[in-house]
Amino acid sequence: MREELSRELEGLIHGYLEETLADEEARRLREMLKGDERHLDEFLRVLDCALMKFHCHGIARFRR
Amino acid sequence: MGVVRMPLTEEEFVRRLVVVQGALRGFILTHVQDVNRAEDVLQDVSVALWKKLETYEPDRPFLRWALGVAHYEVLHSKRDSARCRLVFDEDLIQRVTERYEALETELEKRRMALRHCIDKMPEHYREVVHQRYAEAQSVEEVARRLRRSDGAVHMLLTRIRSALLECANRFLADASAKVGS
Repeated sequence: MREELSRELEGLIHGYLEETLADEEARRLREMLKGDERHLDEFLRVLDCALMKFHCHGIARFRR
Repeated sequence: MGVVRMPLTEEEFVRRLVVVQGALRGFILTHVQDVNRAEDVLQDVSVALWKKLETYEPDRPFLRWALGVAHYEVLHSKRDSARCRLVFDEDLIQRVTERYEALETELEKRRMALRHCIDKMPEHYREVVHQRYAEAQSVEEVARRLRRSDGAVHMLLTRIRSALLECANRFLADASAKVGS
């Protein structure tokens, strides 16, 4: 059950990142984030990694 | 009329702002995923922090105060984003603010780990990541430039994220083991 929830959360976070969430999925993501602090923490870890680092640590410098 | 006594000098304010800027950017990007727009919001937050400096109490953590101010700027910036509004209501943004502060030390370690992992990433992965996130190209545009399907680029981005997270977790575990030994 826990694993299924994780998979669902992973899929929703991916949809959030790639801007492909349908309205119902966006609501489901909100429900999951509000329902369990661990989900929220995981969401923040993934987003912090997925978005911020690529940009603010100067990905341009890797274009050699 | 009395002169308002600022809690920090300009120099000290800038010094503290530089220290928390990474965390603020991350917090903003949690809600505003367009990196260029997020930079605009970060600038607005920096200006708001300076304007509201007299409300800062120096014995409180600067990051907590700064996140509180950023919270309102994020709410303001999200008004035109229907998708963000569906995920984040005000209550959830408040929770994100609290958890972000609680996780900041851990997140900073992860950022260090990711810098290490990005350095090791193959060039073609960096190119995809650069196009998608630094240049803020859509998946469709990246796919067109790479002459690949949208689905293939989605898959590739998922693989890259997984590889980076795995690498970062390994790096952190190794670092932790070294400290423990």
